[in-house]
Amino acid sequence: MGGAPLAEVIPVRIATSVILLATSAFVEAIDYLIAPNANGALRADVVSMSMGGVASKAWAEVVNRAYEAGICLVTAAGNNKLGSPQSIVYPARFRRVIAACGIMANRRPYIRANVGFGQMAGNFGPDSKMDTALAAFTPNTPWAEINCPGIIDMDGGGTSSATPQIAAAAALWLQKHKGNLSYNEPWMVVEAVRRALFASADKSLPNSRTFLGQGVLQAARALEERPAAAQELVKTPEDAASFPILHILTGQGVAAPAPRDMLEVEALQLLQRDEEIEQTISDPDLPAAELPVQEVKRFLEATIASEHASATLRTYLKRVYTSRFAGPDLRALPDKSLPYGKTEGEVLLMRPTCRRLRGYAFDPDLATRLEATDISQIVFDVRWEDDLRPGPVGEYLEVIDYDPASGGYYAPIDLDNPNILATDGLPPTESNPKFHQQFVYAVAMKTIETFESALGRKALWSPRMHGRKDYDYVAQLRIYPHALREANAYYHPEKKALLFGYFPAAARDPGRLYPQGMVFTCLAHDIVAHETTHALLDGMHRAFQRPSNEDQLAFHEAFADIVALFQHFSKPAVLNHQIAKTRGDLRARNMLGELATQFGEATGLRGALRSYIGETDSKTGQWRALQPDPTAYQTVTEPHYRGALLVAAVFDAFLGIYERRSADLIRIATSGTGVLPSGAIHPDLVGRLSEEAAKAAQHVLSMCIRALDYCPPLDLTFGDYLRALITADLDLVPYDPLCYRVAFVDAFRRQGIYPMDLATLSVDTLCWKPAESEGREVSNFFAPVLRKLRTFATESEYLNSGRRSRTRKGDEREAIFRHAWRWRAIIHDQIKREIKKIKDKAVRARVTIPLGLDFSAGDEKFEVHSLRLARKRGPYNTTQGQIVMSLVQEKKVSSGKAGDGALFAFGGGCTIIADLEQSKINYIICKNILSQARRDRQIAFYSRPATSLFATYFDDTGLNGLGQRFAMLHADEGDEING
Amino acid sequence: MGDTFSANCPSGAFARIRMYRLGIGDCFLLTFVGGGSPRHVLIDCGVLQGTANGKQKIERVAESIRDETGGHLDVLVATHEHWDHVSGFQQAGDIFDALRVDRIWVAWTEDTNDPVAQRFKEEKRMRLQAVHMALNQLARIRSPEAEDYGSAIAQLLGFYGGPAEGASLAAFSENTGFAMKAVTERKNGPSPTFCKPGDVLKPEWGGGLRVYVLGPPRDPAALRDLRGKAGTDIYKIAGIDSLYLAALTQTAGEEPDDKSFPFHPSLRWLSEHTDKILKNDALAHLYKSYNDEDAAWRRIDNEWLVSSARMALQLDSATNNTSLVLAFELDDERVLLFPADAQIGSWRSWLGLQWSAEQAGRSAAVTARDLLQRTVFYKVGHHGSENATRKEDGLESMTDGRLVAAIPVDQTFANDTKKWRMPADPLLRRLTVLTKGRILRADVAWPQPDDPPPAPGPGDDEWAQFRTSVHIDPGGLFIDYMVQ
Repeated sequence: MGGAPLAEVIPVRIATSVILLATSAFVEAIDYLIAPNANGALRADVVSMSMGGVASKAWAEVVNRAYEAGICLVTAAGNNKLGSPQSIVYPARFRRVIAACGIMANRRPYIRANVGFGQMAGNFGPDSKMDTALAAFTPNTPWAEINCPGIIDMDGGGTSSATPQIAAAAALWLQKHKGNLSYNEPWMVVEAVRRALFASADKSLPNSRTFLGQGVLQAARALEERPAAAQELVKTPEDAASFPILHILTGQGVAAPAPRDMLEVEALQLLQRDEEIEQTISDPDLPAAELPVQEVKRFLEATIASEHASATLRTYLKRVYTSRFAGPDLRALPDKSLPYGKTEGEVLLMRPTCRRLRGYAFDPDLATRLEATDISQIVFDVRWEDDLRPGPVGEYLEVIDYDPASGGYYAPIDLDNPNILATDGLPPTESNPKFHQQFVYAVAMKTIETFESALGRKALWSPRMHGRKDYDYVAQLRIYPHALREANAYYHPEKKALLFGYFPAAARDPGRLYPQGMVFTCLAHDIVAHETTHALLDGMHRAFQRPSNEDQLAFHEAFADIVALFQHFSKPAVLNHQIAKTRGDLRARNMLGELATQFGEATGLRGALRSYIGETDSKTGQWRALQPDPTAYQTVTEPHYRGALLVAAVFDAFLGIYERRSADLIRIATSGTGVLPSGAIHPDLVGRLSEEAAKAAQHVLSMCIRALDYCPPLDLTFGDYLRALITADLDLVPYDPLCYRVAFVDAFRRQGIYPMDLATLSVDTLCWKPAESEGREVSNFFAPVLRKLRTFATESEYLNSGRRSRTRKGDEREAIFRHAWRWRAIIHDQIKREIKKIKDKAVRARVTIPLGLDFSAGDEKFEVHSLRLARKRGPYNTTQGQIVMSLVQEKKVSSGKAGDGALFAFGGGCTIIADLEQSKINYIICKNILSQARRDRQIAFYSRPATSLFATYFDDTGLNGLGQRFAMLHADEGDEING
Repeated sequence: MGDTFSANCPSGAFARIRMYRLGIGDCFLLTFVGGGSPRHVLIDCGVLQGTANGKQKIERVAESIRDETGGHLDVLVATHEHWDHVSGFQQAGDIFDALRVDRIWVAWTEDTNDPVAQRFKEEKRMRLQAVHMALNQLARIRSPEAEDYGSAIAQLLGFYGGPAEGASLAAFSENTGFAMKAVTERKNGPSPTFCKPGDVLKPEWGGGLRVYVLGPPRDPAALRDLRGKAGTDIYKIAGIDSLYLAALTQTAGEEPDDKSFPFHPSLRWLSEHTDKILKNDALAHLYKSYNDEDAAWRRIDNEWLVSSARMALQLDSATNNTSLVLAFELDDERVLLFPADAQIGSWRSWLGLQWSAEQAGRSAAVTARDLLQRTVFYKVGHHGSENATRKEDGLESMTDGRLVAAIPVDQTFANDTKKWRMPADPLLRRLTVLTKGRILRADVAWPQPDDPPPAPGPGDDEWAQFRTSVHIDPGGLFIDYMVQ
């Protein structure tokens, strides 16, 4: 130990994480240290433990044993972020243990109020504990690097790093004075040490007692403290995992179910786990008689309402409460603890897996068309959320039905209302805003589920930016179902919100629509799915919002359409109906390949807003199948139209796959002729074809979503996306008997979409170059970084495992976000150090150029742009653990050839895909910041002609954001490829 | 009158084109010499709202026109209802009203008896009003966000002559209309000729002079610049905005009717009735979430008003496309093209036009492409913005080696004050190639007699001829170009 170099250290491993402490492990460890060693002496004099958890009776007992044996225990007071307890955790909370609190370099207490938002802070209090607490310096203390002997970083943080300083001081004091001690009771040694440390501590800071306990540790001074005389030492009372409140409750005429001490422990643990309960009591360790009555009352109310409390405890406390505070109606208290998965009496109730909600399959228009009545309404199986509040407001979404143009609010729906639960939600209707709320919630949640199941991880929204800083976590995407009075809907990237409009249908010749009838964009499945996808994509790749080439915004639109489109195939009733109608030929006109029909017709188009299988000829009014136009990719620039080319390619690939999958079925049904007899096809054949279509669609959509991890972090082109698609699929599904990948390559070629720099177009050449090909220097460079990434991954697994010690429901995603945020900084510093180590400029260039970064000076700024652990499940249940990380750098460069033009930010960097099992880097997908060609292309893109009036008036920066929205429609309807 | 012209005019000139230097604002005086006295055609007279000393400048220009023409215009052309094209007819109304005018040419879209034109005007009026009310409301909100949105939208309204300081709402939205009416409903006549694409106008004094009408197109979709999407019809769209307007009138303090709401009014909890809202638990929670100070950045109170930016643009775009587009064909078949501010939709529609041999007085029928190929003078559309000069089948068809272009623009004002891309760089570069550098600009006094040719420029002879064809008014009022 650095603080007490001559002390012998006995490492005892009891857990893999500082916040994951099993009750028994701690007890066993201390007992091991109490037990005499071979020489018959104590194994340990001082114990330093930077861990904590929830109290138990066994802990209290082992702490008492250690104290009686003369072992001085020093443990961390604990740390808090958002939503976790701010008072000292156990075992530090025991009075026979010294709690290590924190003091910062600026000599201010290391507590919530003194650190920045989102940063870790130390715990303190309750007041009665502070007599046996002491503070030492943290954060940024020297801290050994795991697995790196000899490396000490200055990154020690939390009260964890304060703890060993105090323990070391205790050890030093014992080294100096132990020989002179002559006490007849072993515990006296503990008290003597504590007395020396406490007496010598600096108590001069303001509020020292409250935040720092006995003050700030001064080890050198402590050594000057002579051992106290035996009679001066007072034995600290025995520690117990009990709870004074419950003591005062006894003798109230309410018999406690035996064993009562179990209930006491549970109550105490609840106090540690549940912030709401914790807040009811200012100092739970006070003697029972001193507890304010109001606090006792609030404590009881909160505990009875707590979802964490056991049924037995709640029943008992209810009785106590009624007897003690007769009057208030307990039934009014919310009882959130539906006993899912817990035994109540004999019956085991399971938590529902999904919430069934009725809705429109496409949009309300279909409900009024006779030929489609049987498929106009479907039931969505939406993932069950426990804490769904009226709105609906859940873990991911916050529906806020405020209609500014109408000057008011619409009352929010409570999906947990039994009447609604029992009827699969409200019936579809345009006239009840509560149904609208239900519908946007259902469709948006389904879209999120699709993403999460393809990516194998939780979806996060993009953080709120403060300049370039991205620490501001956004838990819920807001949905405003009635925000606008226009034929439009958009995702607002700054407000992290979806805004939907409503408008009267076009007046004259409105197709099948009721003239002037209200059209709600929030009731169109496709529009809701499209906008939600914009938000999800922004959460993964926020640089894709900034156009740096023709494809970037178009990709956003295309991707949103792809997700909306392929969700059509996840509705069996609709799929069956359409397969029957088209006799299995999905190239014939059908609803599955069209988007936003009602919207299209209501805004004056004769049909869907966008169709990927065919279109109605403007002159003849005849529908005809779309023919790919390979030149369009070179000429079309408006994002929606350009995006449509990508969607068309993906849809074409899907059709190819579907046809291949169903070819045998058609052969069987036609005795090999391949020509179906006229008339309706057999319902069994419909069923089987639908199954194939559903499978193909699901596979294609998953491929498309998974490809996002394999995209470069910025400056994406369609060609890059094709490469990402192919590589991601090749990684997860090496064996491809149905030739999905070939179908994709083929479809993209027909649309004329190629990567820019490939000699040939095939599955092999399209796959990103393996990172090994960059050579040994690069892999050596990454070795230490990979080690760090493994630690990150191990910790992430814990976050992802669903075991949440003190994290409350819904905080899990925030924990993932904060964890990644913290680790981005760690990895950044590691990479920076590694780069600084390379003194030779040429070597440095060889290592960093493959990353797309410029480190010619060696100290250039860069950013770890994103960092996620991904675990994907492929077919045959293969899983894949990966780390996806991106590095980004930005330079101000001149737009003029001679360096005379306006400056613009030119970005470069890479996405790094690391394999966890093999501990190696698979791919480095890079956009080189030094590439002159790419820079020239970007300059050309920025100075492209403003082909529309809109572009004449509003520049790319979007003039106050007016131009930057992902609208369903583009802001200027009038543009043409000009030039 | 004729004296000034002859004095400046080298012998052998057919016509003189005078560009008044108003900045962002069109005013072209064409003078033709035939057998008798010079004949004068005035195309537009206006200046963008916000131009420094706009009114004074316009008055000086009007006086100059009066003096130059001897108070007599053979033809007065008002291309479209935008302030930067017609403001002068109101701002210098006294002078223009006193002129003797033989003929007035305007676009068919100004015809009060044409039902299509009327619907168009009505929609325009409605939209303009909507934009206006939205602006007023943004102004009332007083947040930085509302201010940003408002100023961006207000910039667009410069084409409508407002909002001027202290001017009432009605006055503002009607302003441009009044200016146009000063032409179409002139007290001293004559009644205007409403020109349709496909027409040929042949002034009786003009000898071989023919004026081909190319725009505005009759197809409403082309007027809106829509991209030939199946069955899209502009007039169906108008209804869509009715609810938006209803909301604006409501917020302006007028009584709403039930049809102005998406749901039955009883379902709505008015924001101002906080006491009622707070009594209902679920609503109170909703209300608090929305009004939470920490989440103020997520509020959307201003968002719906941004629709008016789209409306302002559509308005602007549609009005630009109502531009009367004229091609003046001289005796020797050379063409002077004045497309006003016609945008792509209009340009595209010209391609469908054809004039019979009889109409054209020639041996064969004439198409718009023929006219473009013979163009030797091009008044660049919409002050040089990229979207008002079509490349393919437009500029690229102007292949006559004698081509000269004129841009009425003030780049500093456009770029720095308005933040507009005028003139657009790519267009300017292409024009430079096609004209061999012979581009006259209202904001540049060029070329001076001693100026060397631009590089890579015209040949020496060409340059000499061009330079002697240009006369720059020492008073800075205009630039003359002689078509010799």
